[in-house]
Amino acid sequence: MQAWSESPDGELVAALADDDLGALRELYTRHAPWLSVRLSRRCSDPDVVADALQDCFTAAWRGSGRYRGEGEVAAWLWGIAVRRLVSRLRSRPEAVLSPLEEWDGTIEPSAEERVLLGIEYGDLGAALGRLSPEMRAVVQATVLDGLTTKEAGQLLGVPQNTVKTRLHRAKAHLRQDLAGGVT
Amino acid sequence: MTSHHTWHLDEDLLRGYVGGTVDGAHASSVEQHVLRCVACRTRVNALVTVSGTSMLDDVWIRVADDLQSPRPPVTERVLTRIGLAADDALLLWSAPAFKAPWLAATVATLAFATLAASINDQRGLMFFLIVAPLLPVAGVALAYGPMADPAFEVAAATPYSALRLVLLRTVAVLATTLPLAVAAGLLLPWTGLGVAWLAPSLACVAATLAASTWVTVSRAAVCVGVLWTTVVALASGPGFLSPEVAVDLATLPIYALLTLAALAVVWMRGGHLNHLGEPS
Repeated sequence: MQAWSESPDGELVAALADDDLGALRELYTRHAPWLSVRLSRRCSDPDVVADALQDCFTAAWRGSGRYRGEGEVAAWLWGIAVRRLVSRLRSRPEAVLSPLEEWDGTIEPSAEERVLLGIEYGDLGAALGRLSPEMRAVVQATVLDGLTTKEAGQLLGVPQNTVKTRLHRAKAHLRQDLAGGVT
Repeated sequence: MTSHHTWHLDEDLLRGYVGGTVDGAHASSVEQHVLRCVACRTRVNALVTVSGTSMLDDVWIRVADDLQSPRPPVTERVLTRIGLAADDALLLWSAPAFKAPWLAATVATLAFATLAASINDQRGLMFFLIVAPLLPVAGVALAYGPMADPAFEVAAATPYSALRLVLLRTVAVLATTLPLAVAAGLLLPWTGLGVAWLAPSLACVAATLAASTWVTVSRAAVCVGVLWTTVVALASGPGFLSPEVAVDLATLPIYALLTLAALAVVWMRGGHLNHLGEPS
């Protein structure tokens, strides 16, 4: 077992195919913490989050061949993790979903930060902030988390058609907003 | 692969994100940035490791355990994949109906019955009509109980609903036996007969299950077998035209009613299956 701490993520994933548990451990150290935070924002039941995290790394180990060597390993892992979360939620419908809007105003980003975040999203970030929580949840699940409308419905606990309708309405709102219709 | 960002997330914002106190739009921004920026990812990790070490360690132990224990056979994984709970998949897959001896016996019996039916007109057909519907019954009789199940001791000691086990095993029997029997039936020169016996077959299986809430499942199966044989024999005897009467279109509603009634009995008396294969 070689020391992996200096290797880039892509090499670690490639080493999984050779059954190198040390490589998986290093991947876990690098990615499990932030994945756990991101998953916790989708589901507030810590047991379900832990299960999804476990499934994610087990699946990464067994499906390492499916990583095509392009793009961020982090994004690949997130794609696995969020789908594992969806399937865990499907078998435990009683699990509590995180309320997506729980901002108590304690963190007010500074003016400088608003500009910096604007680089990431521009006006879109502000427009997103003006969507209703339901519509934003749908946009987050489909556009940002990369889920299909069916998976998003399972994650959010609403029918697929509702996801489609909300996404459609959210797009209309964003389009209008970015065109300067709403201030 | 690491894109060099010209800026990094503010410490307060990161803390707020990890602590769950930033609003949705900002959290999404943080998440998109963290996905691509190794430096900020490391900072998120450092914040998490302070608070969530034990959970992360636990999960890692489970991952490592999981990877080092042998994988369940591929069939069991397929069953799990289509939505069956892992222990259901194990119990279903360990059913004798999925074992080679049972499958071999089924194929041999069907081949014999089909051959007889295609050589000798009336009596051969009668033979086929007796055997084909009873094959699933025999399968159910062998599907659970001390005689048949290598996992019987384990199953009996498991706090697992006997009714659930029996129904699972019945599904296993039907899933393996029926396709084979239907295929055999289609080889026969009588069109429609190849599938027409499915209704009495299901009725026989249901009746066996219902009867096994009173007597042992093997005895129930024998009784149902004798009954069905008698029905077909009577239908082929003088006064009737041919064994086909037993699977005539007009008799189908009778079998449907029988099946429903038997299933209702199983549903209501399911608790009497407490001891596997032996009613309490």
